[in-house]
Amino acid sequence: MTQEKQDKKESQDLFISSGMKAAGDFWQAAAKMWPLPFAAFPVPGGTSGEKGQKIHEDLWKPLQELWESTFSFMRKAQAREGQDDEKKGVFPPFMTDPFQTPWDGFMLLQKQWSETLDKTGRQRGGEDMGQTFQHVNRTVIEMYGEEFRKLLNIPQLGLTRFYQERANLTVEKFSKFQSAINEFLVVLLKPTGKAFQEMQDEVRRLSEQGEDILQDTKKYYQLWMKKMEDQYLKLLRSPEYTESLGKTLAALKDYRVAREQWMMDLLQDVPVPTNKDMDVLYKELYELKKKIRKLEKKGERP
Amino acid sequence: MKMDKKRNPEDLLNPMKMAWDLILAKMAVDSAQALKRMRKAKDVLLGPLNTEIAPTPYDIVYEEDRVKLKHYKPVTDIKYKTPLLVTYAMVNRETMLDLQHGRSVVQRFLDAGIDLYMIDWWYPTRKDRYLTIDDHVNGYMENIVNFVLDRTGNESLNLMGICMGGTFSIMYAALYPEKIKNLVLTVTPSNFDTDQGLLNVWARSIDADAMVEAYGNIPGDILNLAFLLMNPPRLMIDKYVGFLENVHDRDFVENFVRMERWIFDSPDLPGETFRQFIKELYHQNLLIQNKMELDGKRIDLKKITMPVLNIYARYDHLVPPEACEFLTKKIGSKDKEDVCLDTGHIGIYVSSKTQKEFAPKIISWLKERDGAVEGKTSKAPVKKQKKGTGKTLPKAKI
Repeated sequence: MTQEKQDKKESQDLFISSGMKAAGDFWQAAAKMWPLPFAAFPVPGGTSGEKGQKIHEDLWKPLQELWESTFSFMRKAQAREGQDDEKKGVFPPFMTDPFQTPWDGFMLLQKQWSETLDKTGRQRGGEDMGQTFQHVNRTVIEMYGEEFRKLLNIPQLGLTRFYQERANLTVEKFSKFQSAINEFLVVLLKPTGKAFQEMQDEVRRLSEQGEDILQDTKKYYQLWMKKMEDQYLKLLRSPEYTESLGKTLAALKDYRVAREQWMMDLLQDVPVPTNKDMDVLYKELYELKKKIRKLEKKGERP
Repeated sequence: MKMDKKRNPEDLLNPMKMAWDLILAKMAVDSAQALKRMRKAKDVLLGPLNTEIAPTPYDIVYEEDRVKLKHYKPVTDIKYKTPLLVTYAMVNRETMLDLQHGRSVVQRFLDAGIDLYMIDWWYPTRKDRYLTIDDHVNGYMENIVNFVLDRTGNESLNLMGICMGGTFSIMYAALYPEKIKNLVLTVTPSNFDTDQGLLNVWARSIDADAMVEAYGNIPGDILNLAFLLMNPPRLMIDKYVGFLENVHDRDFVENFVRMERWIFDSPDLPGETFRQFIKELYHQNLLIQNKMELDGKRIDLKKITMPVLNIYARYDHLVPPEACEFLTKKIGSKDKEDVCLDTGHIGIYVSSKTQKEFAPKIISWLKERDGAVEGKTSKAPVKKQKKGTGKTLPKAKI
C-alpha cells in the first residue's frame, strides 16, 4: 500500500468512526431527554408523570437499547473490516457488497447502450433531422425491447406475485405506448421538414427571378402555410400515417387496460368501487331497463 | 422590389420564428398604430365579452335518462301544420344551430313560423356505455317522436337530421315511415365506402373493440383531437395567428370565442354506439346496402317513401359529397332532391353566405310540402299543453 493510499484509508476510517460515535451520542442523549415530556404530562387518575415514565420504560427503552446495540455492532464491524481491507472506500464492505452486483450489472447495461448508440450514430451520417429523430427513437425502442422488457418480465414469486406482475405490466405497456406515440409524432412532424425544404426551393426560385417575398412576411407565411397544408394532406392519407395511428391507438389501449387492472389492485383496500364493479352494475341496470321497456310496450298494445 | 441583402432566407425557415415574425412584423409596421392596437386588444380581452351561445329561449318538454327534448318558444304565428324535429349528432352539441343572433338556423326557422323541437343528447356518462344505436333510434327517438305527435295532435312530423343525427334519422324513417311526413338530411353520411373523407380512411385502421375496452365511452377530447389532425396547419396554427391579428376587434374576438366554446364542447360518445357505428357503418357499410339491422329488424331504405331533401357540402372533409349523394338513388321516395352547397361541414350552418341559402331552402321546401295552418294561432299547436318552463315535465317511466 502506498503512503497516499494509507493516509486516505486512515482519514476515511477516522471519518466513519467519529461520525458513528457522534451519531450514537446524539441519539443516546436525545433518547434520555424523551421521558421528560411524558413525565411533565399530567395523566388523569395517576400522579403527575407516573404514567409518562411507564410509557418511556415500556416503549422507548427497548427502542433505545436496540439503537445502541445496532450502532455498537456497526462500530465493531467497521473496526474489524477496516484493519485488512485495502479496497474499501468511504463505506465499509459489509455495506457496499450487497450493492456491488446490481451496480456491476447496471454498468454493463450502460456500456451496452453506449455501444449501441455509438454504432447507431456512426451509421446515421448524412441524414436529415427527421430521419435522425426516427432512428434515435427506434434505437431507444430497440434498447428497451432488448434490456428493460426482460427485467420487467422476470417471473414474480410468492404471495404478491400477481400484484407485482400487474404493476410491471403497467410500466411495460406505458413504455410501449411512449415508444408508439414518439414514432407517431415523428411521422406527424415529417411534413414540416418537407414543407421547409419546398419553401427553401421556392424562395430560392423567387429570389432568382428577382421577386422578394421576404419583404412581405404575410406572403411568406401564407406560402409556408400552403406548403404545410399540401404536405399534410399527402401524409394524412398515406398508409404510413394510418398504420402508425393504428399502432399508437393499440398501444394506448394496452396501457389503459393494464393501468386499470393495477388501479383495481390499489382500490381493493379502500372503499371505492372500481370501474369494473360499476360496469357490472351498469350492465345489469341497462338490461333491466331494456326488459322493462319491452314489457311496457307489450302491455300498451291493444 | 429587390431582395434585402442583409436578410438570410435560411434564417426564416423556422415555424415558430416565422409565426412570431409575422405577428411582430405586423405590429411593428407603425409603432403608433401597433400601440393603439395593443391598447385596444387589452381593453377587449380584459373588458366584458359577450360569448354566450344558444341564446334563443326554449323549454325542456321531455326528458328520458340523459336525453332532453327542447321546444323553442315561437316568436311569431305558427305557419306550418307539421312540427319539425331536429336530431343533431352525438359528437359536439346542437348549440351550433343557434350560435348567436344573426347566425342562427334556429332563429330563421322560428321567424318562418315553424314549430321547432330539437333533441339534445346531452353528456353520456359511464352508465351510458352500453347504449347502442338501437337504443337511440328505437328507444329515445321513437319515444320523443311519439311524445311530439301526442303533444301536437299530429299523425306525423317533419324530421331533420344533422350529420350522425341524420344517419339515425335515415334509420328511423326507414323503420317508422308512417310517422315521418318529410325528411330533411344535412351533411348526413349514408355511404361510408369512400376515400374522399379522411375519417373514412382513418376509420379502417381503428380497432373499435380495443377503444371501447380501453375507454368505456369514447372521450370527446379524443374525437376532437382527430378533427384537429385533419388539417393541423390550419386548425392548430393559422387559426390562432388569425386570432392574434384581430385580437383588437371585439366582434371578431367574441365570434371566435363562441366558436371555440362550441368546438371544444364535446360530449363523450357511448362506447357501444361508437363500436356499432365504426364496425357496421365505417367498416362494413351496411346501411346503404340495406343490410343493417336494429333490434333484429332490417333497415330497408326502399321503405323511405316520404319526400326527402338531402343537403351536403362540396368542401366537407368530414362527410364528403360521396358519402351523402348515393342515398337518394337507394330510397323509395319519388319526391327527392339533392342540394350541394359550396361550403364545408360547419360552414353550411354558420357562414354568412350559406345563412342566405341553407335555412331558406329548407323553409321553402317544407312549405311546399306542408301547407299552411288554417287561421292564425299565436302559440304552437299543442293538444296537451304542459304548463311551466320545462321544470315540470314528463319523463319516461324508466
